[in-house]
Amino acid sequence: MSESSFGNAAPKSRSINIGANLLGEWIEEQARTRRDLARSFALLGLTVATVGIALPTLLRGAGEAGAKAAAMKGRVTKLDEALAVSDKARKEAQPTLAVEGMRGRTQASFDRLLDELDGALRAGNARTVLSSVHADVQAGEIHLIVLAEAEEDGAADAFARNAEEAGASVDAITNSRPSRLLGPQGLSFQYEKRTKVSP
Amino acid sequence: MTAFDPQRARRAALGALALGALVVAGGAWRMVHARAEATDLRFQAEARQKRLSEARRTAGDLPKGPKPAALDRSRAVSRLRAALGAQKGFSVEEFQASTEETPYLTTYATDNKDPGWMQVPVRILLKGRSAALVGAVAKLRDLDVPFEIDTMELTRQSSDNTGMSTVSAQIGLRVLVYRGEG
Repeated sequence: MSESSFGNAAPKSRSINIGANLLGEWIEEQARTRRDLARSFALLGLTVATVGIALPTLLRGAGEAGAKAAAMKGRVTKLDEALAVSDKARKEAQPTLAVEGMRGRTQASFDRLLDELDGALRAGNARTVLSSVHADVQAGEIHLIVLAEAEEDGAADAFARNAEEAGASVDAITNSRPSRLLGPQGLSFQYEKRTKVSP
Repeated sequence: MTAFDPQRARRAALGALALGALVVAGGAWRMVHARAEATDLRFQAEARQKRLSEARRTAGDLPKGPKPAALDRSRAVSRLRAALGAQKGFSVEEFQASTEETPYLTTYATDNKDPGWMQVPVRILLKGRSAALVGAVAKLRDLDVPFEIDTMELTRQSSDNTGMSTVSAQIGLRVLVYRGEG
């Protein structure tokens, strides 16, 4: 080992060490740069690969869903057309349906009134003669008035019993007076009944 | 010195990543949107199909043929008159229809829930054998025009040797005419 007159190492060997350090740093920096670059390229590659794999799948899915939506739209349009035809037919039939509905209800009312009249006509017996049967409908109530002749009180009472109806608000002989039309014990009487159309 | 600047390379990679994320998100949104639209349309189609099936199911119940006489006042009244005239065993002594048409007001209930209906008052006087007359009145039930009887009075006029009575029937009724709800 060579020494200077001052007893320290010669400057030459020091300059060699600096060069070695710079080289080491350069090599290290190059390695870091390569690593950075490698990471960047890896990230880039991963991105490209992910997009490359995901995008076609997504686009294919979107295309299939779009085709399905288009087919559904066509189906909805056809159904709308069919519904329009059906609605038109229903609209045209509406007045007829309204008439049929009303007819059903008026027939029920008619039946109800005829039942009352029929009941009065059938309530007679061999000892009574009906003079008139009057039915009047007002505010949901049927008012029946029967004028009749009877041979005697018992015959008139029998008529009233035959004509009676559960739920009637009035159901009785409301007027009577002697009448010899059917016999010496005869009477002329008025029977009245008030019933609700819909019990 | 390398050919690539690591900083620029990193920025480029990050930029590509952001762009890729955007592209993938866009694709995903497009797919989700298309699927949602398809699902929505499927529900719409199912609802319409259900309505159509219901409509077709009840289509057989829809009346076909000519329009009912109850849509026209004159036809409705004529139908009633013709129905009485077509029957035998009694005579129509009087048939009087009002020229007035008023909104429908039923006497068979205390409430009225039938908009679009009008009524024409009619008075009828029939005379004949009791059985024939009562039978004729009962047959009016099948008339294709709705009507409501307000009053009916059967009065015995006379009896013959066989015990058969001749009666008169005074009937007050209202013929109903449908004018539509519009």
